[in-house]
Amino acid sequence: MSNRFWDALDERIGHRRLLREALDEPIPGGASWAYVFGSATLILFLVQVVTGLVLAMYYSPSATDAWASVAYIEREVAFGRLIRGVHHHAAGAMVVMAVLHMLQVVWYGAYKAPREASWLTGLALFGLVLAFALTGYLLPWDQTGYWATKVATSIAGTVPFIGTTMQVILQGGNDYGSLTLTRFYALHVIALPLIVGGLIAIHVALFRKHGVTPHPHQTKETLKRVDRFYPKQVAMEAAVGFLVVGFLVVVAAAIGAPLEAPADPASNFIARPEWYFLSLFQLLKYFEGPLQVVGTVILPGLVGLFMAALPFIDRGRDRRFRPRAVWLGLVGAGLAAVVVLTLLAVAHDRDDPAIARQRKVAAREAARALTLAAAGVPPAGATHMMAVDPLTRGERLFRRECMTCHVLEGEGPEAPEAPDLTGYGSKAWIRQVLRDPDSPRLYGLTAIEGMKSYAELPDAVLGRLVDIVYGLRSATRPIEGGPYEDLLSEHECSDCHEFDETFGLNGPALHRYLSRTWIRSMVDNPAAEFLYPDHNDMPIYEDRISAEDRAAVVEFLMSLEARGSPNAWPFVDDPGRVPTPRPVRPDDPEPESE
Amino acid sequence: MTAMAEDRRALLKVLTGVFGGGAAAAIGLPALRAVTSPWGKVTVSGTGEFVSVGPLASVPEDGTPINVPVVIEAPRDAWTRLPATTVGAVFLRRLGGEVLAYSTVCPHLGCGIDYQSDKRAFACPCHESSFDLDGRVLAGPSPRAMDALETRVVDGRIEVKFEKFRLGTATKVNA
Repeated sequence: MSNRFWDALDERIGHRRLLREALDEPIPGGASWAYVFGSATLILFLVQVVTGLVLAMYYSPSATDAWASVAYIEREVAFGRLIRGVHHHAAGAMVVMAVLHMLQVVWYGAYKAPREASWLTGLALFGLVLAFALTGYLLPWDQTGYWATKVATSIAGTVPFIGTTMQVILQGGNDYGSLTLTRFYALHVIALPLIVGGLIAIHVALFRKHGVTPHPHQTKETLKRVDRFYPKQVAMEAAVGFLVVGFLVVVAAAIGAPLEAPADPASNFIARPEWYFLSLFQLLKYFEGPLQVVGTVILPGLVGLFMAALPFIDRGRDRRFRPRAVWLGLVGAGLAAVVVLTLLAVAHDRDDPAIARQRKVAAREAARALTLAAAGVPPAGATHMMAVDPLTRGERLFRRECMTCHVLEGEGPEAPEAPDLTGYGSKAWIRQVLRDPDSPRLYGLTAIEGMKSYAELPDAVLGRLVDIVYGLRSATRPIEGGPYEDLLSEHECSDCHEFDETFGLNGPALHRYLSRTWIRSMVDNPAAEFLYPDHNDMPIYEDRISAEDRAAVVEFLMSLEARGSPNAWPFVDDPGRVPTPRPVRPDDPEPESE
Repeated sequence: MTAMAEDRRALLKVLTGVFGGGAAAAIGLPALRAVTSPWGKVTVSGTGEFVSVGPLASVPEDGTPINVPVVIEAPRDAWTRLPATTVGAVFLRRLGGEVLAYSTVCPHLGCGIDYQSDKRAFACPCHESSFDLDGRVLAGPSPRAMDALETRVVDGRIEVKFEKFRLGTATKVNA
């Protein structure tokens, strides 16, 4: 555009002077990479503003809708997964950048007079970054967000005297619910951005007033070299900004942001905060009972107080390192403590097999929730959607009710008393039962005994028997390979088992064996006359859990065939393997009943 | 300033533009695409399909229009799958063996049209467009006649293809 246009514009708004003031800021001692952390933090804040705005266009802060809307962002919105991933990881990056910025300031002694106000506004900004992280973590209303934030607000509740009131105010009521979400949302997208925006303006204005603090060991000579802010320092900052943003986009594209299953107040999810809160989390483990408040409030409070007091206790004009060794050492020790506590928390979780197991279940539930959500979430919400999903409900019940005796996929009781149900109903499982019924992994430790092993049969015949048993479940689909009744009597199966609707023999009736109906009968009452009237030590579940619950468990059992891991029965095809002799049970009570 | 320093400054300016622009684009472009994500998608379901609106016998044989709700089984609204929900209404009229259906959405600016039995005419309460029983404009700002909808009768029940059209245009175009 012509010069005349710019001249006219400048006459009216005076942009040239503003620009000159912004860009020609002198930097004594020259531009430096040491100064980039503040602007990198600011760039990350802008990234959060942009990505947050996009997320807010799709997000719904209500207990019934929040999870579903986030799942919608993940699945349906173009680049939604990327934008959410960037927002998530930029939050962590902001904490890192703010800490680096703070360390640089401490190292250079830049908090010293007359820059106390810069230091204090910076500390306040760091606190607000953490507040952003905390409020944002809850918003997806998934298991991690729900439980980790619940711990955080409970911590607020441990503050002496005002704790209870504070907790009610924070969570917007007596318990977690829609009001907690609307409150956190309002804080996260309105209050905190306004406050942070204002504080950033003050922080930057103060920085401009006092200028950069050069390296403490610069001499009068080297300080004579003065760069202008633009272009060298700006170019450095743009380069760092580009690297940081590029890194975030790559990370977000590669791993996205986690979305656990919808928040379920009835579950026992392992609450873990984001990694930058792990040190505080670890601290909680060391203080018990009445001392708890030391870990939750007093120690973190003292650290904050110390940091705020730093410019007032490290008072000398001298910014060189050696005379300030005590203060630098204290800050360094604090940082080391944070790192050690974080590592301890990570190491503890990594070495705990129970946590690994819970994470596996959590991952499966998260995947299941996303699958269900693809068909739309009912108005009652995602938590309800999961609660009425037979598979999810069935698995939870199975873990509670059945895994005290049964092993499943390598998990379960240390001393199993009932058959391993890994791959239950699959051909591999049936083959295993035919070959090795008395194995301690199958019926060897139960009251059920007397079935012969078919391990000696030629593979083709055994395979045919497996196909037959596998095919029994369907009332409509004929069993492959034509009529099979003769084979069953030839191999003495029908000596003990019934294959039509009558019963009265020694073994359980196998009419429609492993069908939904058969499994349901087994769950309802395994001691029924046509199942194991004399050889049963499994609980009779129709006396213990509701019909819906039993139906859910059956759905879960039906799903095991498809998800049985391929190595579940490693010796299933080992022709040399001899059947296990029936182990002697300590209380082998049952005489042969006829 | 030396020529070399001048070159250096120029290079730094270019680098600033490249890095700054690159960072802005890396976030800005996906963000823009995400904002426009609903374009061309059915975010709220319930239009474009034949919906059963009631038995043929419920419509008066003398040609008097009746207003019936359009209820859709399990419509989607973004992430929600709703139970059977009323998504709109239509006017039904019988002319001989034929069933006519009109959208209740005024083609002017989308207000809900009302049937006034005393005048035997349709009227929009917002900007006072009025239409005769065949949907033709009698008066007012509506640029076109009331939008007729496709109908069919299946096993004695009327089905209407429930659709929405662009507002404010003289021709009827699907929205």
